[in-house]
Amino acid sequence: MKIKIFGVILVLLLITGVINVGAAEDPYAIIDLVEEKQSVDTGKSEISMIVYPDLHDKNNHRDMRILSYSRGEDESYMEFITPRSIKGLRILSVEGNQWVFFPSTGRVRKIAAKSKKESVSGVGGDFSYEDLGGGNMKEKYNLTLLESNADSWIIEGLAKDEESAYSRIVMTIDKEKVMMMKIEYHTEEEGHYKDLIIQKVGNIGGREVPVQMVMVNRKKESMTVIVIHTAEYDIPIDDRYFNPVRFYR
Amino acid sequence: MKKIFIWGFLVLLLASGMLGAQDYDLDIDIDLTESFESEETAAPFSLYGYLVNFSTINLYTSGFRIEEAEMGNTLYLRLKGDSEPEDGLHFHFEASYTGSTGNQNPLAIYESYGMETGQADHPYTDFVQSLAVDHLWGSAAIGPLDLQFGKMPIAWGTGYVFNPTARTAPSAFMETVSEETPGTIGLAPSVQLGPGLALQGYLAFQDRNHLTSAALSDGDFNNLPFGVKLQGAAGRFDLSAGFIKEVVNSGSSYTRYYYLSGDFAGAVWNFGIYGEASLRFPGSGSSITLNYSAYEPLDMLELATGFDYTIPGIDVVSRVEYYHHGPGESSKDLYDNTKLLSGELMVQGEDYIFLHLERQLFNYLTISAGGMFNLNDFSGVIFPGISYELYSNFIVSMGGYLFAGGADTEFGGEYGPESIDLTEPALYVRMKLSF
Repeated sequence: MKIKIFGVILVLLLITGVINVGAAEDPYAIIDLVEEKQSVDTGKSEISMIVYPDLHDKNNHRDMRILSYSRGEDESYMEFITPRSIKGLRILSVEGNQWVFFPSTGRVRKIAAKSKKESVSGVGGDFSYEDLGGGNMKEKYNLTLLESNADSWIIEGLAKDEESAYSRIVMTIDKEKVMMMKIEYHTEEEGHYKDLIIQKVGNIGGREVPVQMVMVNRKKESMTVIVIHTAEYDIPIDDRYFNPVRFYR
Repeated sequence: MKKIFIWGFLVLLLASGMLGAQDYDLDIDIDLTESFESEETAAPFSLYGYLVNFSTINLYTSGFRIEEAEMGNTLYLRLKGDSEPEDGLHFHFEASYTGSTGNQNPLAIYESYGMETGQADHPYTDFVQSLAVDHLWGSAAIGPLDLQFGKMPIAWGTGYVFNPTARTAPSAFMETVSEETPGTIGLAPSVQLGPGLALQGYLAFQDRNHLTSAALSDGDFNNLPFGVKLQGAAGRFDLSAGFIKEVVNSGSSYTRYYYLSGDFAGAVWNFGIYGEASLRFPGSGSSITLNYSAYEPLDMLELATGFDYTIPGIDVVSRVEYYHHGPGESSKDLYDNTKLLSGELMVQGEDYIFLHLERQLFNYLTISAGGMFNLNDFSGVIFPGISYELYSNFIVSMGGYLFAGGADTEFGGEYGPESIDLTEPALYVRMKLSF
């Protein structure tokens, strides 16, 4: 079973390798290859999220620590460890549906479709519920190969579902690493809205993966950096973490 | 004057959406190679919480003239602890300290209206400070069964303001100091029946008012509240249907109510929609009465339904919630203020609407405007607010409550023979430090 380790976007960035380039000029086949390279059953990672509300002011930032579990293509669970003001906040994504557990009220909230574009409640970073959720890229977008040069493929994805948080994405994939190096996010309202860019690649959990990436919000002129500290793959994870009627208990 | 203030606030809220959107320099070379402090997740016991200082000033007005001002302060500590001795086992506790003075101390308020509180009989008892253990529970995952036991929040329902299916703990209207659902002593098992489907329930050992005087009759099975529901997550919607027994101990007698309950939450287009309802059976004795001769379903129905929606372009998050309170009273003369003070009721009328708008104005600065209106007597309360996140773990908020309505309405004028008036304008400053 293939998985997306940290949501539809982040997961595509985590695994790398070398592929037979000649076999893939079809955008769907290219995405298949990227997913093939990241194929694991389950994943557990410890992540830092550093939010810069003004991307021109590097001294002004808020840090968060997150514990993340994932399973299959569409299931991810995240638990916020810090800051203390949101400790215990949990987000579950299963097949495009998302729930948030607020420990102070003890209630679980289902996230509306459009809200998925919004920043995660109480967290305020540039990653939306949609970014942190799971989902299959090929199922969400109609893909077109825009460009194929010596180093990379550039693939455009147009949303199949009108309720998708993004109407269009543009992915740049490194041919040698078979790694998503950049994703542009476009919306109907804002146009070119956000960019996700890999900053550092390292060996973690026995695989070569991006260990630092940044999401830039072009409208707000803010950015959020993700640092992956530890990761383990193909380990047993209890089913209850991925059950919407159980993950908060 | 009030109108100008509110319109100015709304204009500020909307205009803030026009800011932003220009090109930027992608200089994001940041060194972030520090190691993860995984002790946090591996620690055998985690201690955290928050400290709130809440200061208010009530403005006693005549028309638009302030004739008197009265202050009060609450210092509130919430200490929380977690431990997971092994996978599948969880221990949690929450203890609180409260120190309240001036208009924040309920006993002081009652005495100011001439009501007897017993303070004078116990001159060496501290009526300002108190300590309490509010949550103290353990849970075990045993195959498909999750068993939670102890003093825990039993937070049923999908409503944001009103929860007609949450019938185990007192509710508070416009609670601004604490953020927690009160804990109730009991057992709460949940059995997973399939992916996204569970049978959930609780058996409580306290009445809804959480009365602090003890009696053997509290242990009579007739006086134990319980609830059971089938909870499912089906695609875009979460649904539940259940049965609830509520027990209210007034101190001299027990009243028992039985309800059918249900709730849903999901999305339609760009709207997040939700709703929950409870329908009370006839009678209030030790068993369900099936005498429907004088039964008016609408009078026995409590329904809360609403939606949230982000207004495109200006990024204002809006929320609207309607509440039908069937057992409510149509006239202020019939209000029972003891039910309000005990937390058995949040409001006393029949139909309400709650509106709320919120927008992040600048980094860490959020403004909001909300209102709650009684649709039967057209009275209401408006609460503008502003909050600034100075640090991730330190937030300062300011706001106010402005009541509107005639003397014979719920949100205007005085109550009861003591002429209690809790509807004067109030301003507050709240500081919250999380640790």
